[in-house]
Amino acid sequence: MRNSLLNQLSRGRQSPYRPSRRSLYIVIAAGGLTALAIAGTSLGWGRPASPARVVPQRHGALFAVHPLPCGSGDPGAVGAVLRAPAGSSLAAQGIGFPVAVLAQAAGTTLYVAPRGAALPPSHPSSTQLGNVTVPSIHPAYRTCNYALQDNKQDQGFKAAAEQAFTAAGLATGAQLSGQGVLWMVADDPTSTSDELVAVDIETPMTSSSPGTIRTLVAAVDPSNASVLGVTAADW
Amino acid sequence: MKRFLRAPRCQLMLTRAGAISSLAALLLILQSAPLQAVAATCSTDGNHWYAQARSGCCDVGTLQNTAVPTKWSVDHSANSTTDEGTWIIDNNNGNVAIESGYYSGYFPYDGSWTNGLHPYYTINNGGSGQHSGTYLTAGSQYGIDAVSGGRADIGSTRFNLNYSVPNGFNFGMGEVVSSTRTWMGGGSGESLQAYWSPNGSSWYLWGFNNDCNNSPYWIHQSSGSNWSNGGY
Repeated sequence: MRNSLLNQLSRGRQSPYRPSRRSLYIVIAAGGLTALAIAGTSLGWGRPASPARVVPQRHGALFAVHPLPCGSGDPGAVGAVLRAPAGSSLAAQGIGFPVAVLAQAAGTTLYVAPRGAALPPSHPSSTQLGNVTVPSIHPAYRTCNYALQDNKQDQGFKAAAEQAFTAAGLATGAQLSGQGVLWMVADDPTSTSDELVAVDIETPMTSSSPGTIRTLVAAVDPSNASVLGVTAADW
Repeated sequence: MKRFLRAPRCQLMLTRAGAISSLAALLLILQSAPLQAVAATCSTDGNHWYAQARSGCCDVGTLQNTAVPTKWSVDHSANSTTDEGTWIIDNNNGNVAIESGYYSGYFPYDGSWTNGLHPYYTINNGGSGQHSGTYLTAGSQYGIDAVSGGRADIGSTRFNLNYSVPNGFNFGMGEVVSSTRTWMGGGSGESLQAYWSPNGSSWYLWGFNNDCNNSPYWIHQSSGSNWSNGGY
């Protein structure tokens, strides 16, 4: 079978349709110029600053929408995490924003930090801060389902996190299975060795309140769905 | 010209031009990649310009509290439309959806025209729709919801619908159709606070929000549940 394939490939090289070298040069040049044109278009070259554009009517599609698929678009940040060498003083590094310890792993401490937190310019390189975005960009963990119902691996993370939240006294089982509960799985921007499982326990909007959100976070080892640590987050 | 193109010198120049332009294009694409990561472009058929915010699924309702714009413009000669929509849409079938909101300009389902802001709804991803003759007040606060089962509320205007959306995901957007001479909100735009509902009566803040836009329309996210959009 392999020989037969090689023969076919060999015959292919002798094809009368093989392009001449001159044609090849022209194709390379045309390809390059086309790529340049595409790049230019993507950067907005050749367009006026304020284009007035009128597209002929297509009535059937006038209001049809082309929504973002799950996991695409700019996810924005739901919060942040900070990783620093275990035992190091954050205050000595000039870190003034509030943090809470999430987990200890491999000689480092992982903290939850507020959305929008920023490190001082002089921070040591061993201290890392990153935004937490939802959903996970990892295909195996990505879901937009508030109950994580469409992803078996995420369901395992959720079950382990539920146990850890209740064992730590952060929430009761009833609170975690209430109506206004929203589960999320996100990547840890400071490490690939854990995933973050967050749950928003919400109160509904009333005439006097826009509603509230209390967020709990668990760091989970995805290789065995074991929980590395939990905390409440100011996200 | 033809003879020149056949000349070895020309072929060499073309090859060099191709290699240099390929390299330049690659560098430009690589350089622009981080920009695309922070300002995703919405999918479009070229007939729509969007600012879209999407959260998660699978529930039964979406609500947005918003102050309607004080500035907008609609191009009558192009029969164009601008609208702000709240959607509950099937996560597995984008053609099953309820859209609720307000618009100005051309209303494609009856061919009418308004320079004001009217409440409207659509079903089947814009397959059919109706509007009310009520005029919304510029700058005033309105709650706009779309609920599977179903109903569409725009302030005190209610459309009752016998229409269900399974696997509903929560979605909101500002939209301009057919002409960029039509615009919404301008530079200050409109702010929206978005909710999801497991039952159509209790409303909870979105926990996260994925955005995209088509220039010249913009979107800014200030939290998982708060965003603003607009554009000229």
